[in-house]
Amino acid sequence: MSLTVDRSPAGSFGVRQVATTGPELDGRLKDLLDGQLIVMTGVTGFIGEQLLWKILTELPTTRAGVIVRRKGSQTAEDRVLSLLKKKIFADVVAAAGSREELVAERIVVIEGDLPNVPELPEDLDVVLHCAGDVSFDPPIDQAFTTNVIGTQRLMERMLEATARSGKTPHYVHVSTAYTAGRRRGAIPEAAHVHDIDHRVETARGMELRAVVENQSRTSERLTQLREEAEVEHRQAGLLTTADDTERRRRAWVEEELVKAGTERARSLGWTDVYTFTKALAERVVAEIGAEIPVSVVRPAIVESSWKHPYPGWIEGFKMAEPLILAYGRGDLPEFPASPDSVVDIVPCDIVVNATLAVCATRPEPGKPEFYHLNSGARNPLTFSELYSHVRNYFLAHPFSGGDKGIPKLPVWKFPGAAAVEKVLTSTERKHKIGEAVLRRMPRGTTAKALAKTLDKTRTRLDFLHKYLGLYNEYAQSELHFVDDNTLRLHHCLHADDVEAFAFDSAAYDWTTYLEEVHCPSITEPVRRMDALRRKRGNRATTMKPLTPRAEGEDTPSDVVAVFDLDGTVMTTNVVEQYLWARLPELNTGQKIAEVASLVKALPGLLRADKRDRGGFLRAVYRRYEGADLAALESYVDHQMAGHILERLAPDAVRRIRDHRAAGHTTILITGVARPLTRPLAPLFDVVVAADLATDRNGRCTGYLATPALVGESRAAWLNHYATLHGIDLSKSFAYADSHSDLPWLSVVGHAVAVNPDIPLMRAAQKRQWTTVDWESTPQTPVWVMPPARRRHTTDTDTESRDHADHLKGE
Amino acid sequence: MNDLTIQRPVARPGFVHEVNERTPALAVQTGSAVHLERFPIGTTVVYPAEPTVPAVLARPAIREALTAPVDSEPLATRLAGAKKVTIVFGDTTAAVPATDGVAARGQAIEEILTLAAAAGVDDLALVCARGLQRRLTEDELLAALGRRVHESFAPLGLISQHDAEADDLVTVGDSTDVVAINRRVAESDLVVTVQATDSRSRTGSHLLVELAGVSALAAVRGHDAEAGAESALGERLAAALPVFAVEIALDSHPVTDQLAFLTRREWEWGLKEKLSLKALQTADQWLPARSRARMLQQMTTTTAVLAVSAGAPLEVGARSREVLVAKQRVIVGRQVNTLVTGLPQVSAHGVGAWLNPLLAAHLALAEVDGSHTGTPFLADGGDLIVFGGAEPRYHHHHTATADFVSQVLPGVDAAALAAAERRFATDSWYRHLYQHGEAHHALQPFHLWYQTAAARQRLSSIIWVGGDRETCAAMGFRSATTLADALEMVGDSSALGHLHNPPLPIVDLVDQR
Repeated sequence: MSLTVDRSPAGSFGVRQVATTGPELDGRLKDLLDGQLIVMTGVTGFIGEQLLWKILTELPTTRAGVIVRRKGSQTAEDRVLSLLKKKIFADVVAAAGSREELVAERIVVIEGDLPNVPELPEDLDVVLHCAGDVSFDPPIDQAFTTNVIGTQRLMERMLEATARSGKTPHYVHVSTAYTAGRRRGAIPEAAHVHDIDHRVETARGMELRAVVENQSRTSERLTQLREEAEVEHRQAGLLTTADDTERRRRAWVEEELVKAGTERARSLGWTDVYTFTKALAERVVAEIGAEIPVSVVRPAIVESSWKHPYPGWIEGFKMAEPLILAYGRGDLPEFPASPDSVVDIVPCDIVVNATLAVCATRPEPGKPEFYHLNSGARNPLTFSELYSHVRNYFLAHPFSGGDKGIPKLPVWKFPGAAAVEKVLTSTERKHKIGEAVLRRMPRGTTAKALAKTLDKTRTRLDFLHKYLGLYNEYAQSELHFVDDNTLRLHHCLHADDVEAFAFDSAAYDWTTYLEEVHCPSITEPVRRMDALRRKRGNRATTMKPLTPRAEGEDTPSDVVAVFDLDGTVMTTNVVEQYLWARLPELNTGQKIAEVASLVKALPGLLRADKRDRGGFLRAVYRRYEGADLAALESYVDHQMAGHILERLAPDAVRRIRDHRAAGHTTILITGVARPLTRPLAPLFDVVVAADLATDRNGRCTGYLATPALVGESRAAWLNHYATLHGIDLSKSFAYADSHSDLPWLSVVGHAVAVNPDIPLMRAAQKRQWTTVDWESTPQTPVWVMPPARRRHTTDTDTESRDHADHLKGE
Repeated sequence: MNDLTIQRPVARPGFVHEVNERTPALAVQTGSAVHLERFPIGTTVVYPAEPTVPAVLARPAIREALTAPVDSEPLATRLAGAKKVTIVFGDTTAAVPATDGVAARGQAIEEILTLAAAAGVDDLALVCARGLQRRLTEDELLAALGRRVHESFAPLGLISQHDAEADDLVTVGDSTDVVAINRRVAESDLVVTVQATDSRSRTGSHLLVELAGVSALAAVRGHDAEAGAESALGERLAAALPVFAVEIALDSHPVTDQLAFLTRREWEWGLKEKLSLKALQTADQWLPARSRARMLQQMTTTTAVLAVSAGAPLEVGARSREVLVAKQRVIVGRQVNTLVTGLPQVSAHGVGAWLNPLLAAHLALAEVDGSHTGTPFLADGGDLIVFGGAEPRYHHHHTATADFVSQVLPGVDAAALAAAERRFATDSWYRHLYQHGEAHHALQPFHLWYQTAAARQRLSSIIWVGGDRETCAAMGFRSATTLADALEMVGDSSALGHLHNPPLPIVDLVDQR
């Protein structure tokens, strides 16, 4: 023991080691547990896996009975076998010959889960309950099911099994130190004092799901959710909106149940529903185990191992990892923690060793033994110390950061929770303003850059909200868990067991643990992913280069390339095209009148476009009433073709011709009237356009012959076409520019977003679609109309009389 | 002869000026942009002749030529025996802004029609010999033919534009030497070609060559063509067809009258001219590209008729060429080894469209470099410095050119070029655009490129001032930002020359003939 001033919480009491009495270990653990069957849950989890490993390697005559759930098509046996594939089991598998032989020898696989615990083997000696919900914010009913009801059923099964065999089992319950809830100060190793009836709470908690489900199905709630979905998906179609509404409803139900759990826990003095239900489970254990030996083990924050199986062993990410990694990436500018609050981290192997030692003890029936497995009592790590260790580590071994160089490590000043909250709210506000600006911006490079920045800010804000909300309590706790009982048990270890089973949490120093064991271990997979991503490149690859077909190959291809027209292949719109067809025939006065009438109708047209693209198209095509369709077609061929061809994007034409050369079928799907697509007809094999209905004399009625294909109808058409012609849509290509085209872009395997609007750009980024810019620079400006049809003075020619009426005019 | 000429100062001929200390900055015109550059002392600047003031009245001269043709019977006589007559007129690809006033071409056709009516010809049609150029729009046909001719023939569908890719071409000529040409022309009893041009390469049998089919044109201008193949083809066609040629040699003013001072000597500019130049430069700097293009294309100018000749095509062509050369010929004493030149806004092969890099290269390397009477002004192994025109902006008339410059040219060798030529010739989209749209034929960029081959081979480097670097690199040129930088890049600029254009002077190197 050192002679320096003992500043640890335990030391503040003056007396260093309180000699508690309790069950002892009289012999080596492997002898104490010789021939016994330890039935354990949670073997697929972090602590459970190491427990199994330790049993298999250090307790050669002890058998492990593992309760494992079936997952999908994998049986429990399969899952155990695949668990044994992990590296730490390699030696023990080799020693047994094969995994199956190892299982046959040492492991009893029991298929089942909590709360449907199956029958347990009669000859069990110890039941070690290690399983629990892994997340901090599960819905309330799920928390109760797993932690409270599950424990209850397990114990009931255990008692049933031992009733048949006559043995007295030892029940070891792995709880958590934070069942202390919002208490402060020294927490003794004893049952928590409170008067909460776990039965009532469980019953009410389980009822809540039905209540919330009912609430989610009221018409007000559903209307609100539907309106939210419509704002985003209206233009895409009704089915998409319906899907999204249902998704939102389910998300709302889960959210409400999570909130209910958190609030119930807080109203009773716990930080979250996880610790609350764990505390209730301890009560259940004390009740049901009133006649048998019971031990409760309470680990604090369990992190990677100190020594066994190797320094830094960890499975998955636990509590501190997301924060450490976010800090290393420069994404965590501050943390609302008190710099002097104790972060009670305990390495995993200490927890495992202690638990197995506890399994080997024999407490008095009816007097549960509690053990705190933490470091804060005698080897405290304050938050500012944790920060400086992590910072030192990253200064020495920074993340590589890719093409932006090493990220800048933030310097924390611990201003307190209120200051951090203020920064967060102001960032949220700025983000909202940014989104409002973005919605009103026209498409372009500035809009894209702004969208990217806003998306990055959004992910960062979401991360901070989630983790700061979750860890706020833990970061400001003033808890001090007394672990004298654990220390006493550690000193009871046989001399030969100390090497393998030591669990004194003051026996290591934090510098070595954090900077040389823990941080390197958790950053290693991230570094590997970074290196892989650098090599592979994070490029979207749906715009594949095309190879021309070999000469003479004649088999019809099963690939199609589908193109949208407005904004993708051509930079124009239906209103402009209508004006090209209409204005040249009019004199100046009539021109002004026509443009004025269109300008008056424009707001209505734009509103119609926002609501329903089909309605907008119908409104524009009403103006074609009375036009002679044949004359319109000939007008397009001779006078308007130049205007149309000028606005084609050269890159689009090249891509279409590349598809042609590769033998693919090129399809144009558009809401533009068919006569106006005539100059482009040679480029496409199939043109799907709006057909203007005509009467007997060949004059347009102003209505469409068939509904214009927009949004989901295009997806349906495409699917039908593919079935009829044997097209493989997963190999096909699609090119479009707006969010309302999302349904049919999702149908093909290679979708490309061309000059996308912001919602489509975000969707494309999420789905890894390529985004391209196809520009066209026409020489004639927008206001120049195609030349009028030449009027000839001879009237012996019957054609010349009708040539001027290709649109309703005089 | 009726003296209807009005007394006006005669336009001064071109001359050579050697830059000295008192020479002001000279205007280098590149389309709508005019740079004032100060040339080093000793530079040989060749000025063209001033634009002719219109003096010769077209109609009397035409009538006279038709009654007294060269090497042929008068037109009236030839029309008397013909039942089926076709009038062939050239494409309006004169590289100038639009002309106002009555078109001389239209007047000539009217005279011919009068004679034809008198001779009682009832089957008369007009064919535009466009070769591999684009189709003309209705407005352009109207401007070419004049209102009266157009309104008489267009409603009856008697004005057609030659389609080199048509399936119904008819072959003419001896059994060993057949050429496929336009059906209507081949089946006519008399073909009257009417050409009004200011370019000496468009005279003689040029119009007949432009009536041929695409395979013949590709053979005389394509990859494996020999020198002089085109004129040989013209001679064959002139011999095989019954042709009466009418040619009007024009002097078209290259700029509108308000900007006419740009063609005059800089030291004669007054305050008004300097202010106009400033206004032009400001407009060019601030207007977007589209408005600049429209500004120039909508300016109108005048044309002056120099001479009218009619009769046998080859002799008529020789006469027109004589007149045109005499107008613009400037006698220069010595060759230069570095030549600086600007470019006009419009190329003959791209009327109605903005200038693209290939057309600019053709203007510089075929037209400017070939503007001489036998010996080039720029010595072999010299360097050519060109201002303007290399921005990669392509009109939809030049779809094939865009693909040619961006996809075929970079890093190409002779074999790949020949393969690309075959590919472009058989492409159905280009064919559709040529036949029904308004695009030039897909082989046009190849032919223009081959016409620049001679200059590219004999010059040591071609430097573009202010061009797009990527495009210049693709075509094998170098690019500089200012004239000073370009002169530094050139190896030996001891003998520097400058051709002041437009209009382009024809350099006559007397001593080195």
